[in-house]
Amino acid sequence: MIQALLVAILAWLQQSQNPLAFWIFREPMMAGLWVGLIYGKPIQGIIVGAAINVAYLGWISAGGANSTDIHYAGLFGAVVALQSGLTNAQAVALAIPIGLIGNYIWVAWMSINSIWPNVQDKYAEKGEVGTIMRIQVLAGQTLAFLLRGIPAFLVALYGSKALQPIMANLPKWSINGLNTVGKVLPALGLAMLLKYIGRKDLMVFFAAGFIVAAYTGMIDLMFAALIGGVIAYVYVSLQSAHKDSTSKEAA
Amino acid sequence: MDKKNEVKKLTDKDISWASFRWWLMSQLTYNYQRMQGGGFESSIGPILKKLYSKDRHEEFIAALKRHMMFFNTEPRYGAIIPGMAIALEEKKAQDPDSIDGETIIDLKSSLMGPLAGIGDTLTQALFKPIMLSICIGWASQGNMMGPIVFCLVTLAYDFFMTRICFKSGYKLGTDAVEKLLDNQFLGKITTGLSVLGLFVLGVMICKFVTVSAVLKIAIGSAGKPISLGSAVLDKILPKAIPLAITWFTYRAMQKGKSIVQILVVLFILAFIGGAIGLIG
Repeated sequence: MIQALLVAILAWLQQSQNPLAFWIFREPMMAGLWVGLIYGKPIQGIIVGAAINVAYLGWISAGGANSTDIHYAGLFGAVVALQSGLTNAQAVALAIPIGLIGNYIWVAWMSINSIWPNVQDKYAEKGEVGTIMRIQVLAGQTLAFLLRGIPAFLVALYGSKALQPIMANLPKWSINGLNTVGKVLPALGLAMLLKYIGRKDLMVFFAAGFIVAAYTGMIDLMFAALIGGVIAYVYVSLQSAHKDSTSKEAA
Repeated sequence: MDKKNEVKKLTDKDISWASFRWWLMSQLTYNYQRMQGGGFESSIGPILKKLYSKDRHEEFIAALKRHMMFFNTEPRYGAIIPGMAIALEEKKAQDPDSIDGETIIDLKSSLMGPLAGIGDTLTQALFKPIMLSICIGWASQGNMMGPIVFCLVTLAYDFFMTRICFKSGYKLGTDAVEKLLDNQFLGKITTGLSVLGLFVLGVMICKFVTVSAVLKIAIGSAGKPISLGSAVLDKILPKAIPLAITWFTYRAMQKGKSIVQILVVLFILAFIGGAIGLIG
């Protein structure tokens, strides 16, 4: 009960739309950490959170529009996985469809919040800055707590009880299917990212990263980032050196 | 007649607090009607209150209304705009004829798009994924460094980037902001981070898309089943299947297919492939 309540609070914090929410609660890896702490399994929490997070690597919220819901995917994926002992792949397969449903909550929040600017307008007429600020804080946050918290509370309380008998009776072939889905879906997040940063003239560096990792099995990402940083530095300086020399020749 | 008004001087502390309010409040009641409008007002409102003395109530209300308008940008780099707006409002409070209210509104709305483009690219498409990919690497091995490093570094980045942009918006004024928008330095940063990001992305396909061919087929007279994945595919191009799936998904996105459509197709294909024992 208390655990479910904490999950509900976590669900609100995830969508409280401020920098603390973005970086401490929203990403599935971070949600995994907090869910893990709530259920006393922080290490499993971050492992399953990280697995789900890969599918959201390319998740971008631009202009108030989200392609899918990052909030619930990490939260529910971690809650259900920790409660009923799913594998990482199963948690991923489960979490991402949830993300589709969760996005309706985002749209509802943004829509219902649209009544508040008109109220703020009225206080602007009166010059009551303090009231405008109080509305800015309380209106959106109360709504986020209700919209996000209540479903999260119910899922934490009943979700895995409902899920366990289903998972226990699944035939072998469909468990294999679910596991495969979980192994495939991270590609979605990577492809999204590729779409955002995949400039045509730079795609060769994507190929380089893949080839190095595929043939050597070197998949330590810190190592990859350092090598990538060196390559980036060399490329950018060569490019600007090249530009300088061509402009000098022209002159 | 001298139109110059005596106006309270804005201190560095005032600007810091306005920046802090913007940082924390810009999207607390984010909505489709005005987006960050109420957040902008919450940041600049107390400043306006200080600028306009009691006997200039009407000008104060007009200023408040100006900043309740639709506003939407990237909260970090876009913080240049509320900073700049404060500088403009300060000038206007000192001399109402120096700048038109409409001009302030126009400047705000003409800058919010370009700064959102720059900010979303730098923060959401480059900085965040690079940080995430390193920290997810740790977290997936159960290392607490992952979440801890991630939230500390990203929070510090977010806070200081917002503050720097907000304060330079206030100090530099409009010319400097326009200069910033066609700055070569920014181009270099973006290119460099893209190279780094793409290289890591190539590695991440091998690390995180763990599906492989598991089908075993009988070849030759002995009829001994060999694994298609490890014996054949891996010899030619290891990790070919993860690469193919990612590429297919990427191409589908480029063709404008929605995430939902792609997700459904991936889900069904992977489920069938796994269920019949082709991949896993």
